[in-house]
Amino acid sequence: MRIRFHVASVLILTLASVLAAGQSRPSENPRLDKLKEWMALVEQHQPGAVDPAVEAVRFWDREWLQDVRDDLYGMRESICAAPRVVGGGRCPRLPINVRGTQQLASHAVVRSQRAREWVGAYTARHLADLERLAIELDRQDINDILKRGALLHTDIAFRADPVVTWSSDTRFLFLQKTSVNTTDGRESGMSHAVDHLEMARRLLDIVTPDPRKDLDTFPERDAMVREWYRATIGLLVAARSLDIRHKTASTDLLQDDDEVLFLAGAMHETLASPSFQRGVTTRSIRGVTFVEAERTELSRAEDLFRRALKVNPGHVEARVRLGQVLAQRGQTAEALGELRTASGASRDPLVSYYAALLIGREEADVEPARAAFRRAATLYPTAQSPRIGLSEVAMRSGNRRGAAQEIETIWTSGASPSRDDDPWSSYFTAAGRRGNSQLDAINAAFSPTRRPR
Amino acid sequence: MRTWLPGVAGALVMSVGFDAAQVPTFRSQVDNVRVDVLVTEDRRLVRGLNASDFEVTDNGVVQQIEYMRFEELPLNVIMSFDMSSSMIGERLEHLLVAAHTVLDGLSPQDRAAVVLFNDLLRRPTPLTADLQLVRKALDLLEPQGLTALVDGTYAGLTLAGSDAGRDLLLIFSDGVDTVSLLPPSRVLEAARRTDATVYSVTVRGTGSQFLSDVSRDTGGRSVEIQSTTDLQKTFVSILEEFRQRYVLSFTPRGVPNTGWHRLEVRVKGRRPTITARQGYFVGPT
Repeated sequence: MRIRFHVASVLILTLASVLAAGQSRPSENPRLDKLKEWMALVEQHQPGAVDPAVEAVRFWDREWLQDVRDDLYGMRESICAAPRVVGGGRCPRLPINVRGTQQLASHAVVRSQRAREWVGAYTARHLADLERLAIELDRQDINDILKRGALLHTDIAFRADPVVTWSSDTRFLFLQKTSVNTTDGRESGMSHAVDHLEMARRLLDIVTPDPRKDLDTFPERDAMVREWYRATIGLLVAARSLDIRHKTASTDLLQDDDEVLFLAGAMHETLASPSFQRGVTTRSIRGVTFVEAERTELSRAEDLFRRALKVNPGHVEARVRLGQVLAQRGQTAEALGELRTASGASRDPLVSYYAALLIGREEADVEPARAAFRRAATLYPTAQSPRIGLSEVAMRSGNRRGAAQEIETIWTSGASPSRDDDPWSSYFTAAGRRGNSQLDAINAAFSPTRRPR
Repeated sequence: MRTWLPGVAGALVMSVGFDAAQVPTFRSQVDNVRVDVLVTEDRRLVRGLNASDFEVTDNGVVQQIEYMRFEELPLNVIMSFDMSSSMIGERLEHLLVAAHTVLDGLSPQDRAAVVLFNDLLRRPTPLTADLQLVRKALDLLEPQGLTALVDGTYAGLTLAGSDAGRDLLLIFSDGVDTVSLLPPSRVLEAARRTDATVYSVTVRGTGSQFLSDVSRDTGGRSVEIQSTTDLQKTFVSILEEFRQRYVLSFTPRGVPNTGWHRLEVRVKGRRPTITARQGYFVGPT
């Protein structure tokens, strides 16, 4: 199912978790029942579909989801230590995060603590229940459940209507996101919802890519996790849904991934655009800033594009956008150098089109500007932007009649103009255009019909 | 800046004719410069001035005013409107009422055109005296998409100068430019090459520095309204004001042909408030 995006943009601040540790749950089985229910829904879910599993889980509150995540972590630890499963009995010391509290523990330590309740959050009975559930799985299965669960929550995040949630708690809460909405360059409200993308991220944080070799969680080494980050940050860019926390998590985890760095740069490039710089008045909430000044956003975008190019000098689109950012920062000569290099290397008509338009726009000399706009017109013959550019070049060369004639070609082109004819209007979202297909590919690999067993 | 072809090369200015079919052609040498001037004292229009009451300098050189007109020249009213998604609903209704009121205020010899901008540019009608055609086009407007304010302003400017009429570019936008290709500086430069006088109207809180600049540079005015309910009276006042401007004409002498020409207009013996274009640009940049 293709995800449709609208003009409206969303700027998301995913609120940091600062929940206190040590909140005990009843030692009966409702929590375990909830985990089993979640696992069953994950099993039933067709990735990429808005199915009954999505409709059920999207209404779950943050506390339930937090319990699921913590219990999955606990299960993974149990599996790690259990000699009866593949790779078991080799549990390393791991920093574990239970309800926001980082504690160093190993399963042995955990075992010794069971009597006193595991890090204050688990009863002995609950731990025993978790271990029983874990033993029913092998290590590969827990990875599979974590990934499928992440895809379920990704579908909720991108394909289902958000469920509004709010807490009177003055602290930022786990799995709660606050979004500042903008429409047509104007702030149009604020909303609060369960952050299912963060839930997906936290599930993938527990992934162990190769259960037979890896004792620790190395999600960054897992191909699916890497693709998931590329796809999701791309989808966010394509939707102008600027989730800074997700971007930060992506770049922290995948510091050497040119595509993630490129998309993160595109996010900051968009944040530097007038839509957000002038359209967003709520730039921080409770001391957390999520839209910086234009120069800061441009600087961050430039840094990320340069890092992407350092990893992959052949990333032409990163070079085009670096050129655009440099031009915005007033470094026209360097900008034109990057744009020309990119233009010569590009095989993608869309990227070539952007490069040509940007060269035409930034080039002070009339002839190279005209040549660039003509090249753009060749690539997209029915697009308006090259005609506007050619008209302006005629105007600045003193040819008013020529300027009017170029614009006249827009008016007399016959067919009704369509935004599909001219990709210029989607410049800020186009960087994420591969997100949909990337996520589709991941979903296809995890389709229930392709389940290995 | 409008340029008029002399009848014979090197001859002085061809007297201004008002043939609507006459299309000025750019030449590297400016034959005639026309300046639209608003004169007010204590916010009231000053009427009854003659050519001899004015002094015009071009790059500091006093020029001979060859003619002056007041309320005589036909108008070309180019309405360039924001048709982005934020215009849906009441704002569009207010805009339509205001635009129809402008058309009501035009004379038979006046012409009007509509340019619309969102992600795309549209010109539903060319500059025409058939105002019924313009009214029909206005009734078909459908807001959607983003706001290419700078590109829309530029497109409106290119419609100016098509005949001897005075060009009023009336721009309305309720939002921030989100998608234009052209940088504001380039469009400001283009504005300095045309005769159009730009009046821009924005809604409070969405004011555009670009619109303020282009209005100021072309001798027009930028108006910020509280809400679109004020559009009708604002458009009416702009049209009334524009009709009551003096039009001065001179042939530049003693100044270079090309480049930037800084204009200053004064009324001799008085100190009224003068609103006029700040200059004009001729030839390649």
